[in-house]
Amino acid sequence: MTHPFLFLQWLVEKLKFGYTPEQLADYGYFNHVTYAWATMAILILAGFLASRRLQKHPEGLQNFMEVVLEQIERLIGETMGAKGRAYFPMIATLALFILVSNLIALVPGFMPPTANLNTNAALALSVFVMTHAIGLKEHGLSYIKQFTGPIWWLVPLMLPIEIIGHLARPLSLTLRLFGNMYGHEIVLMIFLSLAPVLVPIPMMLMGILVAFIQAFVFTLLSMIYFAGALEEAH
Amino acid sequence: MIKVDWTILLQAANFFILMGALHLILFRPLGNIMQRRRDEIDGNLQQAGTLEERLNEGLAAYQEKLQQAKIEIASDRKQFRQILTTEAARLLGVANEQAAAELQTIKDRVASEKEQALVELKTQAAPLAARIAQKVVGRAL
Repeated sequence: MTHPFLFLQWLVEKLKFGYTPEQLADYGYFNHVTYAWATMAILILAGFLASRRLQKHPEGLQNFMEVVLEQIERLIGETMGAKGRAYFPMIATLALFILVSNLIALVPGFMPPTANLNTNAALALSVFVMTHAIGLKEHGLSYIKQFTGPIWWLVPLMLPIEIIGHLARPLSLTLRLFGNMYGHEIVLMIFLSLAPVLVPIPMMLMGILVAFIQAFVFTLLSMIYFAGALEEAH
Repeated sequence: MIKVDWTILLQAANFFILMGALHLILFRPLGNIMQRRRDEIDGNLQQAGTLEERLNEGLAAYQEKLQQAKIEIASDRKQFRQILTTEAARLLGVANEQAAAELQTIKDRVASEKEQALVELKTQAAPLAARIAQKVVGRAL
């Protein structure tokens, strides 16, 4: 099921930007990329406005952003400990990007980039690569001990289990976020097609909850994976 | 729609570009100012702690001095009371001696005046008795 109206696609089709009719026909396929750019633009603009005139006693957007970043920092401290603070930029970017991506679905004419597998898989694979990079940076080659289990003769059993477990992580991260956001989009589309006036509003309100919960779950799981890589092998 | 393709790389690149941009324009400047504020608060708390410690020390020294002064005052009071008691006893003794001496002087003077009065009475009694007798008998004796 596709969106009845997507603002950016409509804008490109109106202004054309030198695209051929064939290219314009295929443009809809890249909506998840263009809406990811829209999300990036929103976040960069908000970041610029928040840090434009930094004050010792914060007000307005600076105050709001400080509260948001402080909460993320606190969560990192509680989940990953003091070592986790080094990975604050990645965790905070994940949290903000997923949250804003999920929330722009509530604006008519916008779709969430997280309702597409490619976006979520890109984020999940980034977390996967970063997890093992952190493990190797922290422990060197002895990081492999995290996969071999506590007793040497259990290695043939533990190694495949651990490898499957680690490979399942990006899959679960991707599908969880995708399933929730895509499912929400589908339900909203059905409600809009059946009764477009008042019926979709409770679903949209629930969408706010889903947006926050999914952003939190993705971020928290990423932090747990990073914390696991930071820990010593048993 | 449900298909993984090359845009996965584009989205990953978008994510890392966003991370770099947010780090430069948001996380670093805000993190710096938040850290400065934390340092300032920690410094103020430390300063307040030092001041409180000094205040407590001053208060303890004051209490000790006050206690010492109370002990000294009590000792001085005791000493003064002893001196005053001794002085009062001495003055009382002197006064008693003076009073006794004065009493004796008065007694002596009274005794002397009595003796003198008796002598005068004896001197005047004979002519007075002669005159009374003359008046009784009605003629010169």
